[in-house]
Amino acid sequence: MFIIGKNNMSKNKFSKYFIFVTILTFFVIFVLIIQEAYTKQVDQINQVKQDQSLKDFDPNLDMDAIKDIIKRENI
Amino acid sequence: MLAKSKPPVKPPVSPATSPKAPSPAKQPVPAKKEPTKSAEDRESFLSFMKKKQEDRRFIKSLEVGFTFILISLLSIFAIRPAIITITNLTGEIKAKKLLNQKLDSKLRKIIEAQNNFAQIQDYYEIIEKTFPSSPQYSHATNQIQSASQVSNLSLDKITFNFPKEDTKQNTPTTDIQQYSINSSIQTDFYPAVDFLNKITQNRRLIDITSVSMNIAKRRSSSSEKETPSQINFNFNTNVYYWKK
Repeated sequence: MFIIGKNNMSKNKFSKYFIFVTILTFFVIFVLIIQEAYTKQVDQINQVKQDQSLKDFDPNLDMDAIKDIIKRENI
Repeated sequence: MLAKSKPPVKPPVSPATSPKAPSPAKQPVPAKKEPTKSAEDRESFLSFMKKKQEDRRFIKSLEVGFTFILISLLSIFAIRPAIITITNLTGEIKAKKLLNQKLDSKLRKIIEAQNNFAQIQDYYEIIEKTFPSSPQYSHATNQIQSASQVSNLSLDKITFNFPKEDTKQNTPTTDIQQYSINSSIQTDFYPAVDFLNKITQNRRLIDITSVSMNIAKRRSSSSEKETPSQINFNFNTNVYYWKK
């Protein structure tokens, strides 16, 4: 334990540390809130992007294969 | 707190200014002692002021610190839920917009594919014969039988091999199914080649996986000589179908 204004820690030093710690705490909390908000926003967009049922497909048919089939004879 | 606090230091009162003080003419004060006393008083006054200033600074820093703590607490309990709700809603809006775009493009492609399928509707029957939606074992057998008859081969025996259930379960990703048909016959060389040609040109998808031809050495009963015109012809095919 330190005693303010006595031998261990001066009032001046304590006030400096105190302000530093509080500013740091505030900064950390601010960053955490921003990070959490950003993650939640990005997650929702990623869910849509990664949806397998929404993946693109090629609507064009391979007509060459069909032409090749038609050319073949049916025994 | 107030009771324990130190009494304010009184500023030094010079004997010259005091009304009750005797006149300097009657009782002369030594000239050497006066400056030392006033210096001491000034020093104590300065230290008092310094302490006061330090206290004021300390209180100010405490105020600033507690303000930051208060802002932090406010951020956690009031601003955080609001910000998260706002970002959730904006994220949802963006996701819905993206979803709308994707669904639009998919719908356009489905319509395009539907038109393409409509164009090849006449060929459905041919495609079904090529790649049926069921095994159609009899159809495959008839195809092989017909090919052999056209090529002057007489197949005595046709063997079907079906994949085991456990191997089917191991490959669930593909919809293409298959079974194999194999046969062996003693025939001439050219009919065998013609048969293979017919199978490869056939409309039904039959994949020839292996073919083996060996000269059949058969002794004729009259001359006791070998007649190498005949061959042992073995073939193995895979027949494909579409699993619905």
